[in-house]
Amino acid sequence: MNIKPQDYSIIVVEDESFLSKILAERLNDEGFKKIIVASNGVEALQKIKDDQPDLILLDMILPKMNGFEVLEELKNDDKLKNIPVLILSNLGQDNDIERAKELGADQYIVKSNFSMHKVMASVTEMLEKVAKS
Amino acid sequence: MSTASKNKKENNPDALISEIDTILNQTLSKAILDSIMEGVIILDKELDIHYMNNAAETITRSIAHSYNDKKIDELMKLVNQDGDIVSWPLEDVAEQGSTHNQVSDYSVELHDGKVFSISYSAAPMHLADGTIAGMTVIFRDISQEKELMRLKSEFVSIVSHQLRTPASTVKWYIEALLDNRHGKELNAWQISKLQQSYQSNERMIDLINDLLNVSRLESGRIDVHPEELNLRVLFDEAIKEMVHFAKAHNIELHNTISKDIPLVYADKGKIREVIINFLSNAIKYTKSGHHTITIGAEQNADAIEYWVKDEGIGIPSKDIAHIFEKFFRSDNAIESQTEGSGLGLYIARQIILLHNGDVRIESVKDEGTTIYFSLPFNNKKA
Repeated sequence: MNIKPQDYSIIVVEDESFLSKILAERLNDEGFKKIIVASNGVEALQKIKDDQPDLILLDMILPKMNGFEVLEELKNDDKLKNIPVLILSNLGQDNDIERAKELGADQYIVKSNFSMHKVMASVTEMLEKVAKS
Repeated sequence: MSTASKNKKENNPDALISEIDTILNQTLSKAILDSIMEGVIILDKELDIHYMNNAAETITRSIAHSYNDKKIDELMKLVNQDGDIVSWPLEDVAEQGSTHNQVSDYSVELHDGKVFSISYSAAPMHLADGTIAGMTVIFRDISQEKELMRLKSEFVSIVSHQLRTPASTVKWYIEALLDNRHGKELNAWQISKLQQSYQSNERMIDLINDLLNVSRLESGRIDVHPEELNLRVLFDEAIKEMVHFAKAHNIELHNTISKDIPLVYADKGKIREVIINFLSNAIKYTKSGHHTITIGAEQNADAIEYWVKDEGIGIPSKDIAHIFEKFFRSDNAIESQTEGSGLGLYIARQIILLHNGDVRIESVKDEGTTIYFSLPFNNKKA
């Protein structure tokens, strides 16, 4: 890892509590200490505005406001539009992936098809890009 | 009948039409045709209507005999999947005597603007001397069937997505336990049971993905994004990915595709899925031992045919005709206790058909199987 994880903050937007918990635990194990958690789209958007994290892990099927709507709001906000977004969703159809990418998502992972190692590798890779920019 | 007489008839459309009318005027023929629930239309070689049974008149909302001697296009405009009105593709039936079986790619638009999906079959009407006099077109409204299919697919899609969430949770928690991230060492028994649970969960995820794929394919909601592809390279990449799996079975993978093989125009992700399926089957259904799986390709007039040849358990001849059916597994595949859902080959074939290609299989039980698939090649230079 070419970054110091403790320097970066990450928000996990996930309504399934088990998944949210294991993601937060694993990020903590990797050395990330600033981990924010949100369980619906409205809460996520508020916390992203308040805390301006370095990376957003975003589920798509969420209560109150779905992931697509959150993405749209983010990309319309000059202060937030450059925060990288990693989609972690179990929606995996081509048109869902295309739509998310068109709305500005940087990476799309179908949760059930990828190991946690792969998720962590993507997190690191995306933050390394942030560090370089 | 002499050839001269046959030629005379072929060159005289009025004589042919008169023969059609003679056949139709037989009361028994009409009674039979009118008792059929599907629409039956009889056309001459110019696609002019000579007869419609009761069901055809009902389905097309037309008054009896009002379309006699009019073209089939005037009765029902054929609409393709892009929404464009196209001519009825029946020339080959009239000229070459081809048949069309249950074609369900089109909708039709009636004179009053009603549009519905149809399935039709067309077959030539031969006279006793073999002359093609015209054709029968049998059709039915399949709008309700298509709607039911769409609802079924939507249901499968929603359920499958919901199933993926707990499967992801199980997958990631078992990974965390196997990584021994939180303290106490696991003993060998615990590790082995966790690995088995992980494998079972992976199998369930594969099955969910397969069901989703089937649902998308059947509802026509699968997008193909073609690009120029070198399948020799794609096979090499797949071999690299599967080499450990093959080695574990003491099997060698040998790619003999020539460097000069033309490119094809196809969807990389989907063709990769097909290749992985064929290679994975070839490995799974070959008993461990020193065996080779050979990959090859040959250029035909308008397509390239690729093959994957194994030295495995083969398929009993009675099962070959069913091997691409959904959920079908041959007896010896089940006996070999190899895991599988019976969906992989079905999905692979549907993907190849989406690319206007074809799949076929040759197999001898206990000797091996060769699966062939063809893709139309692309003349554009990369």
